[in-house]
Amino acid sequence: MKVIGVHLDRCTGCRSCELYCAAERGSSQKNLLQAIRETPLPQPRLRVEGNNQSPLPLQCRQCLKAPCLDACLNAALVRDPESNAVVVREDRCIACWTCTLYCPFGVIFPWPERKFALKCDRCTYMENPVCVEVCPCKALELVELDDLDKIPRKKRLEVSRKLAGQKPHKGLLLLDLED
Amino acid sequence: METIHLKTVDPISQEILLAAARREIPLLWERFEKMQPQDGFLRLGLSCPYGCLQGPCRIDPFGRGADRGICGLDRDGMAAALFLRLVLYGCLESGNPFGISGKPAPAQSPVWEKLISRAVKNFGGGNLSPAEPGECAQLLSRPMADPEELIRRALRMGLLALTFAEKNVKEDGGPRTSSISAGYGLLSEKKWNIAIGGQPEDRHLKALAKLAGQEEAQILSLGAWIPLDGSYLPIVCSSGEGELALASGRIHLLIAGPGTDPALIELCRSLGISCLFPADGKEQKKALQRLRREGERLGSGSFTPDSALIEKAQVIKDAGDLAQAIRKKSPKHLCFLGGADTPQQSLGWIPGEAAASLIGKDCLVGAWGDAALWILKKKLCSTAYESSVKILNPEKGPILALQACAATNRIKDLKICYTGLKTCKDLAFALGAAALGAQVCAAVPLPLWGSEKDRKLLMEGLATQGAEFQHFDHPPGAQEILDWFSRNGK
Repeated sequence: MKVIGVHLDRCTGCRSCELYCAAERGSSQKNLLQAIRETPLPQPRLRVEGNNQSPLPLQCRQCLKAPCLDACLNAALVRDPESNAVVVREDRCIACWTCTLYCPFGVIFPWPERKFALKCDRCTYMENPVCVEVCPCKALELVELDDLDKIPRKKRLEVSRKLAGQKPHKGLLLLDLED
Repeated sequence: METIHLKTVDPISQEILLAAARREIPLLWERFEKMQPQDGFLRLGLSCPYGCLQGPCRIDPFGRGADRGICGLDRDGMAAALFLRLVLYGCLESGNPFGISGKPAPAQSPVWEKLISRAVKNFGGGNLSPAEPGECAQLLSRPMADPEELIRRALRMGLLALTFAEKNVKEDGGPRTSSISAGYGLLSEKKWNIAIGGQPEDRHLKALAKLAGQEEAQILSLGAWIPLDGSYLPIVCSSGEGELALASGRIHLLIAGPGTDPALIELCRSLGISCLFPADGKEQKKALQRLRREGERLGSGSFTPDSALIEKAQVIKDAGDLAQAIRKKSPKHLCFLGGADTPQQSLGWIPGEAAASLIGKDCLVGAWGDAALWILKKKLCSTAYESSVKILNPEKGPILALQACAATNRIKDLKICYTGLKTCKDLAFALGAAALGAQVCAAVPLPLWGSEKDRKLLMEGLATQGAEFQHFDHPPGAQEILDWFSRNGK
């Protein structure tokens, strides 16, 4: 199963992912300059939260035990058997927003104008997710679930080395995460 | 490489492109693809252009995030200010020949004066003053003007850019037409080829031409139209193909004049081609002597151009000659093509297709810049099409078209298409031509799509002149441009 991994150290918070996600996945024209003239305005399926110092792109984690699947009253949320991603069947969604309340990460968004819930489905039916394609800093990456751990590993090693170089403090546990 | 036909329509360029790809030489298209998609906020005009360090502020076009800048500037103000900034730069690029006095900019001919004064009346009135770029710069220091004012100012900047250019292009007193030769075949004419990047000074060029004459070498331009001794330097390729010409292995020395793209200098470094500045006379001599010494090793490139690939044409430098051609042919339609290559389109696609189709429709087709080079490459300047196709002085292409049409009282029939926009100067000229009453089209998306109000203001402003400034929300195809030319029976 593939998921979208985030290199937090690379994200500059430019929100290109949001912009192009909305244009490609939320509009009928699939063109940014045309999408902004659509009514209702297209909405992105991922959001960049945080601030300049620590921007945080948030999208559906495609939980293996997804609470939203159980929460959905109308079985509009289903797991795609091929990709294992959780997708919204827009024709079945009754816009009750129960899934948005159950999502532990807050990454299912109501879209009242179109009367269905919006969530990242990792662009299951496309070759690559739009957000991954457009990120100018390559902060988003499509990775195998088993490899997801590799993304923060480098960061952990850096932090570990940095801490190891400092004068030890009482009660501070230093982990050497090197293989 | 399966998309090679999307990069350029010229088979010779495709051949060089393939050879360059095999040698892993990075070219323009690789950088363009890596750059995709380009900044969406800026493409829409929703990235704040004001000289302010609180930002950079951006407005969310989809209405979820910020709908105003930190100072309170809304999307209409932001897009209009960005547009004005681009046109202002274009006006400044034209070079102000009058100084910054508040006196009105004098026109060089009565026809031009009449055209300008009529247009100015519709866009704020008063006199068009050379001090206005300074006022616009002041307007762009803090957001205080409304979109109406900013768009009106942009139109006036367009008019001023044309006025500056009309004055700046010196009449050399020589013949009213110049000759131009272009094509890859030029690379096989002499043993050593010296390429010129940008626009070096005249005195440096003359010294270089003298030196080249002594050393069995020739100087060639990489897309720029460089006047020399009443004529133009031969041009190997269009401006978008400069890197291809270098990658062909047939260029032995690059003289990087002001305005040379950094990519050309970098490519010379990686290919081992000497790159010198125009003023380095001694170094140029040494480089040519070194070439002669090391001759055979450096002289044999992988690409062998066919010497027949050279096209020649006469360039019209005087509006009177163009007016005469219009009177003589009295075509139903007056279609002009200008602008530079852009990687957003397959190079040469729009100018080549549009010109070839328009010739058969009782049109007089005029062209300048890269568009003219593509028309030359398509062999549309041969004697068979002599009366239908005219190549214009690139420094004042739209000015000649406007003056000739005004002299023949056919300004309402004038249609100008910019097949690509590279510099702000081209944008300012395009807008200025529209402000003077021409139907103008830009075949690249402009950063105005973030504000419907601004687009409407521009459209309505020009409608008072009976003019149009068409721009697209996508890179249009050749058919769309032809449809635009065909609209309204023109």
